[in-house]
Amino acid sequence: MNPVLHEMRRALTSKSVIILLVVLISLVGVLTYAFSAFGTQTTASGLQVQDNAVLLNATGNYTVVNYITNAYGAPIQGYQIQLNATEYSDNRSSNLFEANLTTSASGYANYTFSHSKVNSSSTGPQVDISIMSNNPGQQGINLASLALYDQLNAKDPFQYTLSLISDPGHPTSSGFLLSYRSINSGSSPAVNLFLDKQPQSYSGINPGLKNATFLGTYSGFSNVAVYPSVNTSDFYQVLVYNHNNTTSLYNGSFVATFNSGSPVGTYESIVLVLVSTITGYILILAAIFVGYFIYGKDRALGVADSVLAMPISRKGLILSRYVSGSLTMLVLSAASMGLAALLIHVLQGASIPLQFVAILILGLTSTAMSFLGLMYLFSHLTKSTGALIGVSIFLFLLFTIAWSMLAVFVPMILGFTPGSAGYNQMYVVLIFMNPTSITTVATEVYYSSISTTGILSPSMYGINVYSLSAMILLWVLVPIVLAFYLAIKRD
Amino acid sequence: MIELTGLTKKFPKSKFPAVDDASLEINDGEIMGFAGLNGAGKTTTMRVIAGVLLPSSGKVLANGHDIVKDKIAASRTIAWVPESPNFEPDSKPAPLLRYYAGFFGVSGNEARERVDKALETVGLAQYTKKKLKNYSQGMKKRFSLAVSLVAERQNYLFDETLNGLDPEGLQFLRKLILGLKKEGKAVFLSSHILSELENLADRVAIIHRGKIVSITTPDQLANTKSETVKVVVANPDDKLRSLLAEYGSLEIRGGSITIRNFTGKTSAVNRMLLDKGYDVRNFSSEASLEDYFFSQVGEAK
Repeated sequence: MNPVLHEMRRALTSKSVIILLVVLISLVGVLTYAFSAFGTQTTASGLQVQDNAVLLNATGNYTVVNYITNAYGAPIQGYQIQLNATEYSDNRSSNLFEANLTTSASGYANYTFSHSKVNSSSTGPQVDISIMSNNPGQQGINLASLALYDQLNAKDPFQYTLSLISDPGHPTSSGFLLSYRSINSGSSPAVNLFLDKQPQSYSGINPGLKNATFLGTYSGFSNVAVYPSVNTSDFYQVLVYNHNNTTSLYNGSFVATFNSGSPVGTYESIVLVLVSTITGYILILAAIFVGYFIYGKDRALGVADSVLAMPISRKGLILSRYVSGSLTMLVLSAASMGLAALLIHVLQGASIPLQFVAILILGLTSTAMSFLGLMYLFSHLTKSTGALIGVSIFLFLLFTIAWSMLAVFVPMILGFTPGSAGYNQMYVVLIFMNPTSITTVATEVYYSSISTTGILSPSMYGINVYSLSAMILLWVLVPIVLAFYLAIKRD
Repeated sequence: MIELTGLTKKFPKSKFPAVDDASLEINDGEIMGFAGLNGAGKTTTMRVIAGVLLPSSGKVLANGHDIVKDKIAASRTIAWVPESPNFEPDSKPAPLLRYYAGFFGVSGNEARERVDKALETVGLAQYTKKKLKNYSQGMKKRFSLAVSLVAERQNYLFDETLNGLDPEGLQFLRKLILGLKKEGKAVFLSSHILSELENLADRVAIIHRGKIVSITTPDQLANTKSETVKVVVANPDDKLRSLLAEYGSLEIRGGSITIRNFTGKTSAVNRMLLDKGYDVRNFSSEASLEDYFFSQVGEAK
């Protein structure tokens, strides 16, 4: 077998690495499940997309239709809603009804009420329905308000509505969810969808089909998600026509780049970041272990000598072992984050953008490779397995625990006032100097590329793709390059 | 062929070099013995030749390839059997040998065949299911020999390989080394068992405090004055010491007398003892490497 392949196979199939993989996968599974289960109760406000309508049934009853999805258009089950209806009569108002609802697996929470006095009035609506969140921690947040001006308004045989959603595969791209509601609960007949780019904000006037792009013919749907090709920040109008384009059934608009649909701050992204943070520590331990097992221990015990006596250069030996160790780290990172993303998709119906998952894998792998490189470096600076184990424990404690204290206290010792710009800048610089922060910085850079919100306000402190690259180069390359030098120049 | 030119190896915290300006050649078809006291520099020299240690200065060429500058080509020609072999403890012998074979471009069925043959040759065929950490020291040495056999090399380094082997192992190794010589390989054999070197080696290099103090051949050895005479008399007495003192350094244990660095004529001494009335039961003399070794080491001091 090719020696480099042997090294890789040896690292990946060693009992210890397989045990690590199983432990990591199990931990990721349990954590993701636990966080996801918790998340169904506390879905962050502003993330869900709701579609509401009031229909007058053939029986004379009104039905308030509430349809709740996540930012990607997937139905949310178990979302709690409170309806408050107020009736107006002359100059007086009185509560008509109050109802607490929970969405079903299909995302619907409907409420039917009977009322005979919803008539047109010159002074305002006769019935006003307020729709609020009733989820724990979000009670009272207004989702929508519906006003019934007259019976005719609700007696329309059907309604199309448009909600803005994000493309799960491209979180910065907008899409739309077209919903169809009818009094007989049926699905939409065949309609043609068109998209028309508007030069300015929505005028409310149907621009016609002259310059519109045909998106397709859709039929038999209650809700359909469409992700047309759009340009960021541009205004678009969606036109719904009957099958032979003779009648306009609906037109609505949206603005491309729908930030709330991006993964920034979404619950599923928070779950993934939490899981990646915890698994990050396990991966650091794994890197230390793998570095010790496939290189440090072999060097200290003289096992590496038996390999070095073979036709392989000193550079070749360390390179093959570093590549196999790094590959092991990549497999562990990818397996854990891939599983977490998959579980979030299954449990929450949310699609984590691949780009975001890739950023986390990059961050975790880079951190792990940093520690791998440090282990290789200290394998050349220590003379025994005991000393190497001691250094490993020191490095782990330094970077995972002690460093955060250093980052807090060093700026103070240097005279910066906590909270001041100088203090914050120093704190961020110190964070940069810690390889365990690579994932955090990578996600911040990613956030800043798609949103103006972020934990550290990245751009203020020089956190950008260049400083991230420099950080990765510093921690990933410097230790291993020094280790290479020592391997080639020293015994 | 292995050539050492001015080879010096100094460890950072050591006052004196472990190997000091060593030069020698081990020719194809030659067995070069390597003798020295503990710490003399034998193992360090072997490890530098094997490419495991870097020389501080000087040059090691294996079939013309520099072990530092052209390590891969040089290592292709060298098989190293270390004094205390260390292998991946959790490995089983066959996969690890196939791994080593991979360095020589031997893979697949060919590697399997060579590995099976090597394990059979060194007597480990029935222990392939054991992990190496469960091998005894002797078995590890045999495994180390199997490593040297898994791919054909031109130069063989045996570092104290004779130590710790059972009689069967010793016999096997002697045959192996003589077989390699017949095949035209260069063999560098270090050992504490000087009699083995005497029997096997074409030449013997003696190293002391890192310096090669002499390189001798068995023929030169026969002509050396470092002769040892062993006499056994049935009726020893106190006068024996004064009678024999002038012939060399004496070691008397009852009736057994050893005269090292013997000077004089053996027949005259034998006659003198008989004339003085001693019952001489045995009288033998030999020019031994051991004596020569101690004489050289003594001179080097």
